[in-house]
Amino acid sequence: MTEGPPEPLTGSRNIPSLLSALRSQERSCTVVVAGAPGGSIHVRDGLVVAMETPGAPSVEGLLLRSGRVSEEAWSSVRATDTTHEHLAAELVHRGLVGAGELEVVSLSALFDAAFALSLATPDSWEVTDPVPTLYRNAGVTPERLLAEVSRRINLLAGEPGSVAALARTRMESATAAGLPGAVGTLPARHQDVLANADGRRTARDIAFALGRGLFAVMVDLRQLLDRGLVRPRTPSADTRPSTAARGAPSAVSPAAPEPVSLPRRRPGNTSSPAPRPQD
Amino acid sequence: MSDPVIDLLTALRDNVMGVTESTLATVDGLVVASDVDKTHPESMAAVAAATLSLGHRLADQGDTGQLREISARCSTGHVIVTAVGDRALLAVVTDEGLDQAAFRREIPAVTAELRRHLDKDVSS
Repeated sequence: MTEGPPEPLTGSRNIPSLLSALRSQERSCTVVVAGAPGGSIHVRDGLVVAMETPGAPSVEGLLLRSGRVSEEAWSSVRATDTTHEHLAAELVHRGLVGAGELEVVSLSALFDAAFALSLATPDSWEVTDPVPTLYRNAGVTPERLLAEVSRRINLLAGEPGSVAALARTRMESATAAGLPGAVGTLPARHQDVLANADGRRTARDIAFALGRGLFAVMVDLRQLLDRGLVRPRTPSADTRPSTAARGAPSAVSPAAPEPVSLPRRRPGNTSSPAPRPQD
Repeated sequence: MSDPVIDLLTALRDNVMGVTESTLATVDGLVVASDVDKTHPESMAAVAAATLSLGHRLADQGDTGQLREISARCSTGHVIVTAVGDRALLAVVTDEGLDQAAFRREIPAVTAELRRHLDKDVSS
């Protein structure tokens, strides 16, 4: 906030160079990225400690969806710390998550969010004061973060279409028609992904539904795709009923639709207490 | 070809990360169109209609002006109910990772567009 001249930041042409500039200045800040998806990058002393984006499950999502931490426990942890700066310490202190486990979850959420953010081009970004967030790791250098993200993209970059296209595709299971035997032999995590590939969900949606990382789900989807067990969804046609003529063919006054078939209470059939005698 | 209203609901799911299901209903709780997988659209329409009318009462009681939306924020997602004109409403189910910024950007245009389609029902 007080340290470091801000000139290098305004000159940054992209997020990686911005992070490098923040690293050399050892800044503590939060970078708010606007885009589709946008997100927040939390930097402490020049190292990236956490990222949040709608594109990948957060630490909170991973802990809750996977059932590691119950909703009740999570609420009571949050109640202890109104600044949300010490959530990680409290989680470990209460024995809800092991310190090592939380570090693994925190780092994997960070790399996963970085991967998700790298799939979209940011519209703009803004460096703000540090915003408290849930993390437990020593921080990652921008170089390591970039190297890991490009490793992941290279791993996924297959022949048909780019990684970003794979992330946008809504896969549906191709097993309903045939290949019933192939599903039983799949590992459980592939079966989970397959069960959630309903033609409506993208890889990101499946990741949120399962409480798993986006990258992990995309790797599984790629493997299922290669084995012919999922395929991109083909849109189906559907029509809706009219809102106009429900019971009133000449609906001139739209504000008052007639209550045609509302259920009615019958005397003696009620669950409310009987009226008191008037004495 | 599919119905333009259903296309709008599908487009909302496409354009806003985190939107999983949506139901368009009349204010008296009847389903108009839905883009759903897990939710039961008839039940969602009924509950959303009741919620919206309670939301109007809440806005009255709180003296907080015109109701924009009413949302239930839950541990693994949200349900957001928005009025579509005077006669209809839109109930959107999202996961916890909803792109709030994109949702706020998209929803006014979506409800305005839905409203135009629904207005055609009565004018013809």
